[in-house]
Amino acid sequence: MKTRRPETAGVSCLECRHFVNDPQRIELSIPGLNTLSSAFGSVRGEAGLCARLDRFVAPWVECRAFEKTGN
Amino acid sequence: MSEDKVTDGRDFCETKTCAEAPPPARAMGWRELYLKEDWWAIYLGLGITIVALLAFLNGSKLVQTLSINPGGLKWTTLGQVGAYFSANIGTYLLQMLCWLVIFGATTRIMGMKLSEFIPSFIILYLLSIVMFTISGWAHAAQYNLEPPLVALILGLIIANIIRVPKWMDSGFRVEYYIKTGIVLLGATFPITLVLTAGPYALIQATFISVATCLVIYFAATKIFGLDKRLGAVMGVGGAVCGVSGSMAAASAVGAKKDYMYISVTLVVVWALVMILFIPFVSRALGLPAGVAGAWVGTSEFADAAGFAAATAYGHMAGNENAAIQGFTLMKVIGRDMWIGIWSFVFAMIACLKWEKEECQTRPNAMEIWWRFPKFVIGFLVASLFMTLLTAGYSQAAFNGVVKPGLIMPIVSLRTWAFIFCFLSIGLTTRFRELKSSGLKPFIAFTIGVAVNVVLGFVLSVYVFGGHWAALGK
Repeated sequence: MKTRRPETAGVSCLECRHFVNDPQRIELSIPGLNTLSSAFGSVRGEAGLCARLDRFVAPWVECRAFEKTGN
Repeated sequence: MSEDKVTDGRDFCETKTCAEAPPPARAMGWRELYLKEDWWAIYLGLGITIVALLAFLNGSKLVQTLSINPGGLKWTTLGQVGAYFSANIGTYLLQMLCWLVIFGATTRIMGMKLSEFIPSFIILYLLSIVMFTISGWAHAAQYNLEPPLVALILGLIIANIIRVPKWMDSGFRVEYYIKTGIVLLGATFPITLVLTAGPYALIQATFISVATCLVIYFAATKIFGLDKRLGAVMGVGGAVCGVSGSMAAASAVGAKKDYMYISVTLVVVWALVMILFIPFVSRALGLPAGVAGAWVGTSEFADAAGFAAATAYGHMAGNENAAIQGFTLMKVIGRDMWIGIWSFVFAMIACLKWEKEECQTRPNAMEIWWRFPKFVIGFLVASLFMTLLTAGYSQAAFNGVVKPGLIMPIVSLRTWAFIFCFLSIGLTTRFRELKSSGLKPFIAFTIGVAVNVVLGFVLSVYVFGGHWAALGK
């Protein structure tokens, strides 16, 4: 996993078809998350779930499992 | 992440709705200003404060009327309750409509469905009326019927026996309500108190945050041999802000989703235990309300759970204001700011040490700002704004005119937001949904909890006790 700054990202999670950062999806997929927290809060930033690696990742991360959205 | 096994597809989700193809991810940028609940909590909290101020300055009773609640009724017979609601039914309907519009419209903008939010919120409002009515019973204190604890227990019973459908969570927005309540709290919180007691809160928070995080992290990784990322997720969760802290740390180190499950379970279970443990132990020890509030702020894991514990003890001790002030200074001012710092620290460690072969660019220090809980800014702005506005009044004028006409309506509306939150904690806690954490993570986290509770007690009672005991006087 390579970590890059958002402004320099080109092939990052944010453009990857496996990346899910919709807050409602995140809350649905992690039971209990909304009990004492929220995926709609600032602390999450734009982080989301990688459906392929099953990890919670920052949006500017890039990795070998990248697949462009729409492919 | 080179050692990772690449698993197949979109199998992270266990619900039908969620398992459908997700919408493409989009960068948020400035859209954060209307898509994040922290900002909406600021807009609502400051907006309500300004409306209350304008009504006060113009001699209007509108906000005073709409801030009605039956908590101060002191009823002894059900007939009195019936007569009260018969006389005020119109005002309550109007109040419910106002809450429904402001929370409904804003949650809709954030992406939730009104068809789910509206029925859910109406039920939440009606349950809140029941909670206020119970707390308004003349003998409520005699039977320990503290509103936050009753709300929590009632919510837990409903969620786990009646089985509330998942879609109703749209209206049970624990964090949104507590953040809005905290901004409203800022409007009644003197900024001078933040300036004088804030530094002690920051020192105490620094001790507790570093100690708890390191204890959990090293217990998890060195004693039990657990993954470093799991240690980081649990450590930040225990040290800072529970599930929110875990979420921030998880994304900083790229943790497995299972680690989030584990941390969520541990935080929720221990937070519920602490809501009951700290107030009752504090009462047994006869702690001043401000001291107990600071202890809650040091040792409880989430803002929502902490406010429930602090408010409950404030009722028990007869000084709700002091308990809430102590908690707010310690948790909101002291500990919450650590979320971004820990995220950045662990992102750096992950990049420079754990993945140094693959990590080419260091994490950005702006992470600290991106993760900062923005509603704290709303709290501080509201506090500064109202302190400056009311500074010109004499003590007698403040107590005789400003307090009943401006401060008390805001306090009542804040209490509504808190009750929505306390009920929502119980209503969204479905024990059957929580995953087993496993014994090793449980013990590692529990060691951290023990250190946190003892250290928090020593710091709050013996080291800084003099400062906290003076609150609310």
